[in-house]
Amino acid sequence: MSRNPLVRITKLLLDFMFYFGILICLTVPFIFKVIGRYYTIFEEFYLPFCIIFMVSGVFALLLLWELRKIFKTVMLENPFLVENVVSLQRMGICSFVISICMIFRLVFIITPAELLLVGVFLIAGLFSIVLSLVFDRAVSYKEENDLTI
Amino acid sequence: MIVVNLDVVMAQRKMGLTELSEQVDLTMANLSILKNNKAKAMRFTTLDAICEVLNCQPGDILEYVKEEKQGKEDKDE
Repeated sequence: MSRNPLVRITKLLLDFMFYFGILICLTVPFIFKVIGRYYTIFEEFYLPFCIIFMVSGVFALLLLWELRKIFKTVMLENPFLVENVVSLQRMGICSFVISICMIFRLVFIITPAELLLVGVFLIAGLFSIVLSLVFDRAVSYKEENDLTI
Repeated sequence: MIVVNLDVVMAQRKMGLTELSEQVDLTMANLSILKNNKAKAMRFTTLDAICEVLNCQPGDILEYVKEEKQGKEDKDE
């Protein structure tokens, strides 16, 4: 088990984000009702915004779930596994889906923050896919090293 | 393919896996990988240590065997 405090703190942060994310995702319709009182755009496009945010929320949760799985192996000091390669690929797909959801939101409202979110998740997805390829090579090197006596 | 005949040499020398692992300074797990032909590569230092302990030549431990399966596949192609 890793004794690195940074790894443990990050794992705790991820756990918090995951469980808090579930809560937020489930209460999106209620939250948007409340926000709609102050920002008319949320009242005007209540249903599409609910759908877009809940779908992207679910994929964000899936992304966090995969990240937690990777961190569990990091804590066990054995991160170079094929499972982590698959997790990184899934994280990339989740990022792309979130990015697409944000693009759909641009139909209703265009703000600099929205454009930034689209870009961030698009780049995050690309990084994740590239990282999965790097990890794949690392896994094969590790396997070869493990089987060199 | 290269076949490791470590078990044959060990049997000839009447030496067990535990004894060999202690003398060669290898873990039982690694020695088992080697003995069961699961290893992908072998270090010269390991080969040197095994040959010294078992008093044999590398050729006694390692053997090249032609793979018949691959030959059949080549013919099919």
